[in-house]
Amino acid sequence: MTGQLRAFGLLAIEALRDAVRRRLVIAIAVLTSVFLYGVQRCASSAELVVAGTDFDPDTVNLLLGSGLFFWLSLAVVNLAGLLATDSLAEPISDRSVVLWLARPVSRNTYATARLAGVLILVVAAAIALLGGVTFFLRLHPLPVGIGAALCLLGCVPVACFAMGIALWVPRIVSALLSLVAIQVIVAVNVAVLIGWEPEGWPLWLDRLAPPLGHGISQAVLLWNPDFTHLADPANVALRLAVWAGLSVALLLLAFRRLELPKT
Amino acid sequence: MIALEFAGVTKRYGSRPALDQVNLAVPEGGSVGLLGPNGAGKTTALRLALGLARPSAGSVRMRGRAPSDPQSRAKIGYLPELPPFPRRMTVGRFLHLQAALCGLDGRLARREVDAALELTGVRDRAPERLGSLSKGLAQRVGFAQAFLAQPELLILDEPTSGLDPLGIREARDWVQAARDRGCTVVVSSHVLSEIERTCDQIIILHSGRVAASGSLEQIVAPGETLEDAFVRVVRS
Repeated sequence: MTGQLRAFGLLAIEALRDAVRRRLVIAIAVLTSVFLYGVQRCASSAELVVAGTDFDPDTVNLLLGSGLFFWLSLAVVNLAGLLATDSLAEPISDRSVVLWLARPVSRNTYATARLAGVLILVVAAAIALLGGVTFFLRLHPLPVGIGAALCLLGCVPVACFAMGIALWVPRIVSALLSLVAIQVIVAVNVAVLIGWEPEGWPLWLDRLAPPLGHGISQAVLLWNPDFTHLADPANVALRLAVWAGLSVALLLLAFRRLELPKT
Repeated sequence: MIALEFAGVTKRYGSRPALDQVNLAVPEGGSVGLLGPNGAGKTTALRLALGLARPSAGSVRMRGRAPSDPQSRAKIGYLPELPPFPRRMTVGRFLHLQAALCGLDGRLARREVDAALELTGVRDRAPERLGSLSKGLAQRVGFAQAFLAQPELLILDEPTSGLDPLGIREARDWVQAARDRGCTVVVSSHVLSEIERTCDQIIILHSGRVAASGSLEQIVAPGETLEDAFVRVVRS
């Protein structure tokens, strides 16, 4: 057990280093910096414009902040899907996975380490993006904390499914499927939140799929006094946690059954 | 003690059997050569031993454990054919991580990596990326990773592939040195002369079945070379 924990740590760090070598970290850091610079400029401009009107700068910041927070949370979930697509599929396609699994490393350890590498990167991006927006727009930290936690919890099933699908289909197809699935689930969840009463598959999608849209909407609902009664973070967290556990189990089962190298 | 044991192992890909009712036992300290024409099932047998594939029937035990148990791969050195390295990693970083996964820490890991780099003649390549190495150098790094942490069982798949004549002779010496320390060696190769020089037991696979097995003296008839014996066994 100790040996597997140690191997998990080593391989998770290696998954991160791999992302650095592929310049993914640099790309994410540059995009995040440019974006936050834009937000900071926007925030200061908002105060200048508001100075000559009746608008309260804090209200403007809240409106701007809640919109940005929603879209950034969605971007973080999409990032999890995109990064995860390559994470396990690449060492399988270049067959290097064989060299790691020829060591006393279990398949569960290897797959969870690759997943952890993706999630660490996603958490770092979320902290930078969501934390930056919170800081520059002076948002209330409690809804931000709840929203960010639910967003990150939603990243777990997204990453697991993207990794799992990429074991069987080409990586580009897996990435596209992940992106389409995320947008459809979020769109249905948000439509339901704003009063749509779905029937048929959208109804089942809203009830049974990972509630990604509900998760990333919680912070926005908690900020707005008119919608606070719609917020139910505990229920959403429970559903996301169940999906996270289930998706990790499914990923490990799929990876354990895979014959290597793939022929 | 048996280092590697196959009991009635069958492996099918679809309806095609890659291995069919294979029984074999490699004793600790022994050296066994797996011979066979292309598609005979040599690489499949090694993949089953390492738990990379599952048998369709029968059981595989490596040092008394099922291949699905990670501990069965402790103290194992594996050199796959044309080692599939992660291309962006440096030689040094790759070997350090491999040593760490073998349970070696800090100074001990550094010493093992240095010794493996020195032995295989790639010390000056440590800062280079694995993807930039030539075929021969990659094979030497493959040997270096297989020799880390003093393995008790070496599994070598086409070990001389990509090596020049000097490299082939050096590789033979490395394997012999490992044998001298008591390491069990399993080699799969098309190069009959290598098997002849390295191994004391031979298993000839043909169409997924064990066509012949035994010591060199048992397989090679008087006046025959190993090549003659191989052709005779496969054609019969």
